Amino acid sequence: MRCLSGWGIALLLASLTRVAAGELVVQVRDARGRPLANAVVTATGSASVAEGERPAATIDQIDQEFVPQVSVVRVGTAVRFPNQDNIRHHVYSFSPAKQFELPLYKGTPAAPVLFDRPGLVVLGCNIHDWMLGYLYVVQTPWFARTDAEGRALLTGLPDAPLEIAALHPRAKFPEAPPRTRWSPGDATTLTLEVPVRAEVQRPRAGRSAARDYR
Amino acid sequence: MRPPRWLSRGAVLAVSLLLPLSARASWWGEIETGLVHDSNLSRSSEDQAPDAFLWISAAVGQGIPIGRDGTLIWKGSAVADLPDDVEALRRFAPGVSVSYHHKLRLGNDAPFVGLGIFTRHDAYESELREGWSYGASLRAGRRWPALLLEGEIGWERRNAAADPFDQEAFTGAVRADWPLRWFTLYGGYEGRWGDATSTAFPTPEILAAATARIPDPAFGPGRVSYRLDASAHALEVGLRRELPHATALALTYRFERTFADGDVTYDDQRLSGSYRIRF
Repeated sequence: MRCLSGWGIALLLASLTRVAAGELVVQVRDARGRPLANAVVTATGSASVAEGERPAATIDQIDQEFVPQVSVVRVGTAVRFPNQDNIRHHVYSFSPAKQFELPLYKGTPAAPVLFDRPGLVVLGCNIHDWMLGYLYVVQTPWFARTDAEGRALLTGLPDAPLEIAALHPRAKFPEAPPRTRWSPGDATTLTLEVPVRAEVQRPRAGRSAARDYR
Repeated sequence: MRPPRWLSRGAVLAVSLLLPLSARASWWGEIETGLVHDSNLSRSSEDQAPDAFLWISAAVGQGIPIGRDGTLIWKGSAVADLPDDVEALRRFAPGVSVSYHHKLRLGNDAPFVGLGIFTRHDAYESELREGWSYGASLRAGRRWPALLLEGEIGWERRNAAADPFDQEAFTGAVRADWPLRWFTLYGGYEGRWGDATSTAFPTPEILAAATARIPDPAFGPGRVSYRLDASAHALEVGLRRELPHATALALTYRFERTFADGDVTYDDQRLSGSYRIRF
């Protein structure tokens, strides 16, 4: 009985981790081997790319944070920035890939913002300095963001050799992200290592009120 | 003790100006509590009275955006101090402050300037100390890119029930907040030039230098509180750990040395820990 249960669990695990044709699981780790969440994995190659439609993406503002903190879209995508808080935000970016400003607003601004150049767009709020968001705008249609376990699933990959790269907002060497070659006949899981800088606190609170008591 | 007439009128004017603006602003609230150990609560060179006390403060306020880069902030607060031993310094202090914060450009590393005014009523167990405080300050700073540096100059005045506790002083400070991986390291220098009040057994030197004095049993019989011209210089360093659900823990050490007329010099050390919840 115990043996049967063991086989059952093994089969279940195998079915859960199965990767279909045209799919690749990329495990991203930091330099100490720990899973790295919020990394962006891209696949690029010489295969022809269908232009297709680019549905609008959304980056929320919830509890005075950008949600998700890291997003990835394809060049030419419009992004909405709805404010779910009951206070006003003032979203902006100075990044070369896109400079824009959404002056103080609540709810959803009338027009989404079009991201028409590739690169990293760092988002901020002019009222709440601790709010930081990152939007990767990429040329390729094959991209994914890693989950809490550091895993990203690339789907719909072409039947051609590809270059797989991993990007992260805290990468120590953002100009030289780790890359590897991958072909459809290769293993369906690969690992990339991204050395990152330590994450620092983004303080919301100011100094203590304990002053002037004498 | 009644507040100065101009202060009451100013408060009414401020409230009537703020009310129409506040309808489009967000509210925030904060509760903070902490423990402090003070090595020299009497601010005396010879007759030091160390004590520990618990304090709790509550505040509500609004940040009202003004244009693209300005924010008008008002805050109503109340602080209660509960000393372990020196019951005369038990205090309840409600207060109000209004400040304007202006960024000189867009961005979280933009230089900023700020102007603030405050008033507070200090209701002490010791009636001699009861009174109104008010003041104004001007500050400026910026972030590089995570390190926050700021400087502040200010003026404050206190009108108390007894003359030695009437004080007027100018202040100056430079502060830095440096966010690290697990906590924010902060520190700074604060200077104060003007009146200081010390409580001690009388000596001829202090009697000669004092600009006001009164018998004061707060720290025991036979002592006198004096007002002296003084300059005080304080260094502070601390750690603040931001926790989930908008809470924070802080630990602060402060050393202050005061140089007063009559060759009076005294030191004060404070170690405090606090916990804050923000809504």
